[in-house]
Amino acid sequence: MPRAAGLARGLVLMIPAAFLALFYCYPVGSVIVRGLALPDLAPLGEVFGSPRLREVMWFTSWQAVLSTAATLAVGLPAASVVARLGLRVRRWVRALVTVPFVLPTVVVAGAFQTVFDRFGLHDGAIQLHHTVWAILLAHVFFNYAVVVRVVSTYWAGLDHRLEEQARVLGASRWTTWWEVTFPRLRPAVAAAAAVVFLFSFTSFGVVLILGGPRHSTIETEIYRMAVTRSDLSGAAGLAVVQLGAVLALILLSTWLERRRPTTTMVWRPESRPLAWHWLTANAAVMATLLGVPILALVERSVATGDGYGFDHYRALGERTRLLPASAVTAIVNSITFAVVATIIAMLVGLSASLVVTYGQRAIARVFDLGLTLPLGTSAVTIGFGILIALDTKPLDFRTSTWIVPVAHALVGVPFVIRCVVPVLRSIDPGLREAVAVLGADDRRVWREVDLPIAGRGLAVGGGFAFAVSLGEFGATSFLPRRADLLTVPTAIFRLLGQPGEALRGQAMALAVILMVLVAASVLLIESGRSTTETAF
Amino acid sequence: MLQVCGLSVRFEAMKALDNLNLEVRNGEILALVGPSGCGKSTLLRAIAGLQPVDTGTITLDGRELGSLRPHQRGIGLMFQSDALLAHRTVGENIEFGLRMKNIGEPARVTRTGELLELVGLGGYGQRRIATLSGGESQRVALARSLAPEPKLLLLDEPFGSLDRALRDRLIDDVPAILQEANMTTVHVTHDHGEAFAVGHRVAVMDSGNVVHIGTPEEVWAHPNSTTTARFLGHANIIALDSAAHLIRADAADVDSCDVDRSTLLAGNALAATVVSRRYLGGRYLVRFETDTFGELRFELDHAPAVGARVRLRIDPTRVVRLRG
Amino acid sequence: MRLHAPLRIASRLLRGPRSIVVVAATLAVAALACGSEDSDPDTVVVMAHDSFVISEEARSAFTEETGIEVEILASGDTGTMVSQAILTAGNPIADVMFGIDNTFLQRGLDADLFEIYRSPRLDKVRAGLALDDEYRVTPIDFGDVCINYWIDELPAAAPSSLEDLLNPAFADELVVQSPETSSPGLAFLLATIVGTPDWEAYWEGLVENGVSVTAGWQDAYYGEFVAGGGDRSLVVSYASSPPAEVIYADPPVDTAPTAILADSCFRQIEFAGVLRGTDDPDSARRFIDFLLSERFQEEIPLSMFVFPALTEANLPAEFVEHARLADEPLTMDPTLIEQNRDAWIDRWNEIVLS
Repeated sequence: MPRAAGLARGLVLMIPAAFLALFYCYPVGSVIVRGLALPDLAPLGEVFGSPRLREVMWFTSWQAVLSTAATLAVGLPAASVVARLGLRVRRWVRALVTVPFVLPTVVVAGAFQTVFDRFGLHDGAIQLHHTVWAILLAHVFFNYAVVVRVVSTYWAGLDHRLEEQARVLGASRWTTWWEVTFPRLRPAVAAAAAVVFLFSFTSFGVVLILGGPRHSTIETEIYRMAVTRSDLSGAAGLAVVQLGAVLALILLSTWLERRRPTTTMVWRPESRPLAWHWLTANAAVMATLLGVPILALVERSVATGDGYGFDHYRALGERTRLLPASAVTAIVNSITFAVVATIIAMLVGLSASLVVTYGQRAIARVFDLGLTLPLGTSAVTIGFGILIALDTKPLDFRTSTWIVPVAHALVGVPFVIRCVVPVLRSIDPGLREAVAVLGADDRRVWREVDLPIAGRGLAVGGGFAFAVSLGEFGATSFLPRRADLLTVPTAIFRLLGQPGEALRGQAMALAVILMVLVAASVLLIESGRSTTETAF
Repeated sequence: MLQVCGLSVRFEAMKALDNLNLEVRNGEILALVGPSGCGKSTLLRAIAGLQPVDTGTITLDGRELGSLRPHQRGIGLMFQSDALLAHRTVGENIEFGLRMKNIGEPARVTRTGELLELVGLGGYGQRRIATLSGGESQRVALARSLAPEPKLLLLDEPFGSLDRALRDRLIDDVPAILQEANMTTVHVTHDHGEAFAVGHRVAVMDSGNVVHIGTPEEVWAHPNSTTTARFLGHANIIALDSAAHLIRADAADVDSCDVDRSTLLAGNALAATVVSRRYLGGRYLVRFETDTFGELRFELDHAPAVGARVRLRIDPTRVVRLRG
Repeated sequence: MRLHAPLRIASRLLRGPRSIVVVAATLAVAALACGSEDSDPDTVVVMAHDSFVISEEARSAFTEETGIEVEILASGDTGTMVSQAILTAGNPIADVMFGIDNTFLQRGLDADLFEIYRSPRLDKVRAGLALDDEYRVTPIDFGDVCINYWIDELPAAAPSSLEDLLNPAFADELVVQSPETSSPGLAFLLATIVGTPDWEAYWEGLVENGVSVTAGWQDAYYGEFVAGGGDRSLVVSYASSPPAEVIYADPPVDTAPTAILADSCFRQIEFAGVLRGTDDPDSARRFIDFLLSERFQEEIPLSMFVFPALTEANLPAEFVEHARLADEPLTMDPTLIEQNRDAWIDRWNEIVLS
């Protein structure tokens, strides 16, 4: 036993550490060292000195802050509703809100365009097209799921008697929320906000397509430097700036998250009253924000030259000459990558969560911080980093197929950690003690208490990891990959690469399939064993 | 038999347990009372192995527990909050400890059934924890603690979170259940009434130490310190001959009503005015303002009217000299 | 118990169902890893931009003929692909690069990406396409980036020159892509530099006339151009866009709804080259020959919507009927492009975006 335990302990530490070191630190470090020709600091000074950088930095930051605030403003009320729904409905809603999260930006931009046009927001009195408002709106659209899912999971586990008490003591609904609910929710809110902020901070497609060429963020600047101008030193300088900003933000958010909930949770359901108008209002927001663009997509996918039909879906059955593989193959590939990426993300994320929750403070911090960084690092930096760092045997992984799910998992892991750690921290220590006294050794305490309860967070995090992979987040767009291992988002992108209504219809059909796929998968992942057992 | 010798636990500068000694006999229910912060929960946790100790030994049936981890000690512990596993059924919660001992399923099912009967929840095996009332949860928690047949059961404020009626019922039921199971038990509470009701013996703790131990009757009748006396609900503590004395609530008799001031103050008698009276059912709790010692309270069979001047006769055998 | 929890908790991972997950993950990773071993000397690895497609038939024909398997690495857009190749110069991820075009060519040549190879089939290539005298790259296909217009939605008679776009009749009708983020966008900027007397003044005129700028081709063509439901009737796209509008029309049409403005066309030529540092230059060379074979050249139009470099290659009927190439497309020396591109784009940014 002691040997096994030592080995296991080593594994729990080593899996996330090796993962991070090999697939993040080494590549990103290589880009910086090579790009800046360290230890010569002149290029860095050049980057810092440019007035354009200050402008871009400022815009990047404030649009990210506003995006985060807006997403929280819309997402938190929805989370409160979702937290109180019955288990089955809750699961469905949580799966459905994940849908926008995976949609390719090009497709969403198209849907927005349609909606803008239809409601006169393109050229009318209120113009959203190519404005910062379009960026904010799109960020809310994409990140809504993060807030709703992370917060509602946590919220559902809170002991709502405290709220009842406050209400009885005369507190208004708002005061109760602000004084009683929010402080206890803060770990989850901080976790969700951090993720939304990082996504908005490093947002690429949304800024380029919806914001138009007049808006630049650090992320688009890095792309501009590295790709358009082949200026690795400029790109590396910006990467350092981005890294610094993200690091500061994560430190702030972990500090907020560290402030533990003032009460422990009871994992116990009680019927929770849900005001009718509150439910309706949130459902309306959800329907407008998510429903309208998605409906626009669905409508396009069934719109054929002569009315409506499933022609575009049927057409996907055959390989078009524009694609290196058929759409069906792309679906299979996407699912395969997503499954592998999810397994990696859950394995690494769970190990890391254990270290973060129970490990020595300093190590816990480094893990938490380090494994969140990939979320806030430019895809170009990581992609090109892998290309230049992992280039010699036995580490020549540049064109390995599995680098694809690994790169996806790099983005998935922070989700798993952010979903699991707050839950682990909130477990009543009395529960562990009670079980220990009943004769459970630590392994069994873990299996009987921590795992089932953390399982909910793990499932939600795993759902995210799956979605992240299906949506092809992260560095994979900047990594060379086997053409026949086409995935759904890349297929959509390529179908939209040529004119023709039929191609566009097929692309939309494929986008709808992607949506169905993600909703179904998330539903499946979250209805796993641990979730039903903690059923409320 | 549980023996605790010279046990000390420090939290930084504070001594939570200070060279504490305690003995619990087999089959006995020891009620451990004390004000909050006196160290009683720390003692329980130390016995259970949840709290590392600085010095001292804990022996159970002659076996030193110091080196054993909580799951190896064979001790049951029940918390104020039921600490049930919400993701498992009532039955699964109860059989938990049996599973940990790798006891086969048929035996577990039988034992679970027995315990459900014992705590009066027959047929609840498949219920979800979420559907239980507070009292039912506590019974399940008790059954869960008893299931692995621990050598010692520790109850930490087991009724603390329950309403009064429920508590009164469990205060009757639980000792009976424990008695039937012949369970050696340490029952921690901050309520002396509960301690007197459940304990074969009562140990009073203060500042990390057991300051008095004995049968409920002994402890109540002869508290050995002001703290103990106050904690056990005694109100009449007076200074006499430069030492603290307790006049117990059952020490007084009302001699006569409406007496003349001049007839007072002879022998063990006090002149007093009735300030208030409260009917307890069968008896009265009467508050007097005495001329000599200020306010005193006594339990009496008959109560004079509020405002009446009376002479209180004090039984000197029911006056206890206190230490400190 | 907290302090040691990870240790003991961790040992869980070695037992029970979770160890299965560990093993499964390891196996999955291992399986995927094995799938992509490219050390096999009989495989030629080709890095290409995302639009590169080779049919299954052509691929197996090549393998049958030569015994060499083909593996394609999709490497993003052309700019990303060239950057990747520069980052890995000397220790390439592939044997052949396909798709570097004349706007990026000099950058690749400057970075010394390619080995010299003169394909025997080069003689059959259309004149004017082979831009590198040292034979480091071989032209494979070409196409034109041109202003496209939606015939029925034009507010005035079809424009016939770049200058016509300044006509107030076309106010708020043109949408272009940023040269910073889009390959046709860059091509069109180059077209205006070659094709107008004063390109800066020209762009000032376009801005005055309400030109709209998007980041990429998709958001221009499908977002603001009439084709996707937008309200602009002029867009920067390809000479091959009209035939695509016919081939992928829904419902089917006989004639293209769009046409090109021939005087605005900038020629893009795509090249392939043997990457320096390849461990299998022979296979790489044979693949380049294959890229110039009739079989492959004839499938180029319908799979990539560009024109074959080979003079003899037959064009598909749709192309013959609906595609139109500029007779005298605008061109620019790759060296000149490479030298000035960043400065031009900066200047363009100032004029158009601020």
